Amino acid sequence: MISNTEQPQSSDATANAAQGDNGKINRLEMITRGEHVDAVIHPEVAKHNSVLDIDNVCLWYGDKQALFDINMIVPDGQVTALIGPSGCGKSTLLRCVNRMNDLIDSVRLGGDMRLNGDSIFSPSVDVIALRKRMGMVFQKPNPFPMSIFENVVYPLRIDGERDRNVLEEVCERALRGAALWGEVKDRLHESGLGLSGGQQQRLCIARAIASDPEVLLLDEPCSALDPIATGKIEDLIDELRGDYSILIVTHNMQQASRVSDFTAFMYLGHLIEYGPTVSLFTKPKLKETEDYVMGRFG
Amino acid sequence: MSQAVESNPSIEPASADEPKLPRARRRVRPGASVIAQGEPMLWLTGGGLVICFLMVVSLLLYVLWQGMTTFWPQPIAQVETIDGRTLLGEVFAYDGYDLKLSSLTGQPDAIRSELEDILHPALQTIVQEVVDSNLLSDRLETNRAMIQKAVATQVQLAPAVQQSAPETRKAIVDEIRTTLDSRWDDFVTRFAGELLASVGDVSGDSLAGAWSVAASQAETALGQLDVAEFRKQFSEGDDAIYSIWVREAWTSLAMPVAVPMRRREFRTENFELTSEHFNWVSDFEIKPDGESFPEWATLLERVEGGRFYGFPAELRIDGEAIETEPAAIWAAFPKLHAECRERWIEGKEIDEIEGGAFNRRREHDRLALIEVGYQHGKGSDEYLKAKAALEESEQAHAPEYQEIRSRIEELNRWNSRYTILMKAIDGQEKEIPLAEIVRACPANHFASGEKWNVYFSRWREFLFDNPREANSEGGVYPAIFGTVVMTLLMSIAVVPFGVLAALYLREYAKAGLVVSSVRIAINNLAGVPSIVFGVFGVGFFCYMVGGTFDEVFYAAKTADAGPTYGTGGLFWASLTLALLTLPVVIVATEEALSAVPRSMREGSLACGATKWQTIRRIVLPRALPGIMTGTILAMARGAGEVAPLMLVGAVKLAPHLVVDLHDWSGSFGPLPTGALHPERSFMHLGFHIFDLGFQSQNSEAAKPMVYTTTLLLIGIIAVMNIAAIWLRAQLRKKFQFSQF
Repeated sequence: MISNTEQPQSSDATANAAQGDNGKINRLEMITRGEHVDAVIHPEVAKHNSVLDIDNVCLWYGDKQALFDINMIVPDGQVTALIGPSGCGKSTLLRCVNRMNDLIDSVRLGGDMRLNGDSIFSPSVDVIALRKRMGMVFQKPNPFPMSIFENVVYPLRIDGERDRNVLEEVCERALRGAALWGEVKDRLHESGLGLSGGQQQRLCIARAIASDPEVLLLDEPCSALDPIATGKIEDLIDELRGDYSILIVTHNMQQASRVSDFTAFMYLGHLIEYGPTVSLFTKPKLKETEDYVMGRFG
Repeated sequence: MSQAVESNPSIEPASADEPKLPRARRRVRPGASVIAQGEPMLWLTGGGLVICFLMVVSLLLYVLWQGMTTFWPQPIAQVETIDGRTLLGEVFAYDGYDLKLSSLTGQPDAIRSELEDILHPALQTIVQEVVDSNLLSDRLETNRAMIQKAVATQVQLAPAVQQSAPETRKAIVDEIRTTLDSRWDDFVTRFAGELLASVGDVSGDSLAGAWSVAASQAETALGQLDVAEFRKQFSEGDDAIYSIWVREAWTSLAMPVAVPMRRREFRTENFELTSEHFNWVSDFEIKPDGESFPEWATLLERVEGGRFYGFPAELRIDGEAIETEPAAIWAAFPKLHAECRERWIEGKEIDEIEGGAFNRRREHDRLALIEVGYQHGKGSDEYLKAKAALEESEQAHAPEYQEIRSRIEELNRWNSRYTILMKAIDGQEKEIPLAEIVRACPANHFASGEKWNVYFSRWREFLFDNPREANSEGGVYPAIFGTVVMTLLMSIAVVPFGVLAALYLREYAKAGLVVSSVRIAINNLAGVPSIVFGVFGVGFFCYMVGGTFDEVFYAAKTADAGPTYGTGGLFWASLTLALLTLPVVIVATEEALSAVPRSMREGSLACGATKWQTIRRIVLPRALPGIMTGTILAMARGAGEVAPLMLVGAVKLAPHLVVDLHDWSGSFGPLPTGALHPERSFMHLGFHIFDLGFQSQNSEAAKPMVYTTTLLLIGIIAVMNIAAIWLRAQLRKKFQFSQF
């Protein structure tokens, strides 16, 4: 923890030094040239307890490195957003958390992540048990071809839960949590595929929170939705704040500024700046971050 | 960032410095514009579809029409011919043929003169054509030139020949003869032959004289070959010239003399009286007004001996005529006939059920004794004891058997009292027991309602009865049963294996050389000729697996009464076909699995499901409709397959069904006794069609049955497919695709 707090300061200093030099040292160009860049991490981040620690995570797709020494913590009970231009590795980083990248044969990992202190990358980890501790929502709504009820209780079903009362209780709690209960309570046993896109996505969120996850991973959950459905999901994320630690990847900077407490800016596999959303969007420490959040590139 | 922005303008001038490339223009050629609209391809592709569609539809319509009309009672025609025959029967088919000159030979005079009358106009026309054309004069000129040349050559050669030895002389003459024969056609050889005849025999001295004589004879003969003379003789109706020229026109000039004619295939039957099933009758053979439809001409379909066409003469009870008028006979017939048939069926059922049970028990006991003998040896005490016990029980059961037999005999005796005397068209009489008549049909007397009754009764018999008359009559129930049971068993066997294999290939195996080669092998397996599977099935399943099974479980029976599982049977046939259709299922399942979106698998895995849980709960249900499609294709392929079945258990006539409906008492399962007999050979509709069409003794009469059986096979496959498609639709409704 201490080293974490010190590190940003030092990198902060370098960053300032770099900027001070008439803008001739540009982090983005350094990255493009393949040079190492230290992330600028605001000290406020360290004031929170972490649910997820990310230590020196590197990732290669075959020979191509996609993540470079990512170091950050995800605060407990907060909403943390990952932003950055396309291909910057934010989804890849998110998918490292529940090791969905294992499904791709050519992936190699370096470093480690710890979920409440338990290693995630260690070879001895039971991936299935690990995934049970988190929930994930994908870009496109992907309800299963079964009833709404079965969709929500799916995580319990695979754990072998058969008690009807438990299932019904969890279903109601999860659907209420996902702000979908009012809309579907009369048709729980109809197909989940019959819902609208926004409802389907909230159904997926309900499924993700049904098993009471330690961290909720949202991978651009609104990119396939219309503005009204997006608004509902954002409201929902707002409501979930505090109950769940949420790590959200988003393309939409307004969305990041609206829903998240902390924001991490990534570029080409590097973490550039990480801090409270308010300060990152209003007074970022780096010129690159400012350019990005102002929409000047990316 | 600012640098990046600055660098942008620096790029612009660089590109401006480069020489500007001329913009490529798309040229429109006038010819291409039609293709651009796609119209010719529309016609081509649409035409392809239409041709495929027409072929399939016309095939189906043809089978449908032939199959549906077979059982309709045809009118019974009576036909008198000009040569004095009288025939009674149904018109089976019409056939067009060409009447030729050769048809004249060997015909009775009455027919011959009739035929000549028919042929005459055609011959007149053709000979006239020949005479009028240049062919005649050209030909005569050619022949004349050839003969003259030959004669001249021979006359020149004559002195040389004269001086040579007799043997040489003979050789020369022979050579000349052969040359003439081979080079000149018949027409000329006639004359040349005469010349040579006079040359060959003469002695050396007079040869020159003979040559000159021959030459003058040839000149004379040639003088006769005069076109004008021929024409004159022909127009005067000289028969000899006429026939020469007809033959000439026929053989050398390849002028066809043929008159299209029609004949009918007349089904006259009454085989035991006439030794014929069919007669061909040409239209010209029928006397004017020689065709009639007598009201009481009746068709009897008999249990044995085929059909009988004739007129009812007497209805008899105990040999006494009770009715003699056809109308009265027909009025009394249905009731008596129905009673007799009932008794006949009752007797048959007693024989089948009670007699069958008796025989099964005997067989069971006999096998048990053999088993004892096999285990303990034939001389052992156990064997003798068991044998004595068996004999005792036989003794005890003998009265039971006697009782069954006497009941059947009683019924038969009762039935034998009722007979009908039929008079065939040639005057012969035949007494037929009512019980042996399946169906009587005075078709000309029947109103259309009664014809419909006959039609449906024939369909009923076809669908629900056993075959008669070496399969060419009666029903195909055992074949329907065999086909359906085999197809279902095959599906049950093929689907689990196919799905498991596809799951491994698609979900578990790492893509690589091995998986690709396995996949290629599977695809190739689909192209292996089905008979190869049949050979494999008989070698592997029947002889190896079945043989081993027999050795282990039925050693005694095999030694005594032949193999149980070690030969063709339903079980092995189903497995063989399952092997045959496996690639279809695997390929279809793999495609269905790969169509399940990745997002669903990821969603499930992200919930903490294991791979198998994901497959079972998400992937398989989603892929089920596709798997069903594969199953449907496999079923359709398997149900229609015949070649391998001929090797692994389909037979012409199976004495028993694979399920013994009267033997529920015995044990279930794969045993030689009991209700279920997967080891038995079976009948199959596809094989039945082959057998009817090509193996039947009276294949002409079986032809309509080929169509009905084909129709039935197509119908059954269609029904099974529709059921599977319905099931798939239900599944699809349940697991419909997401809107995204």
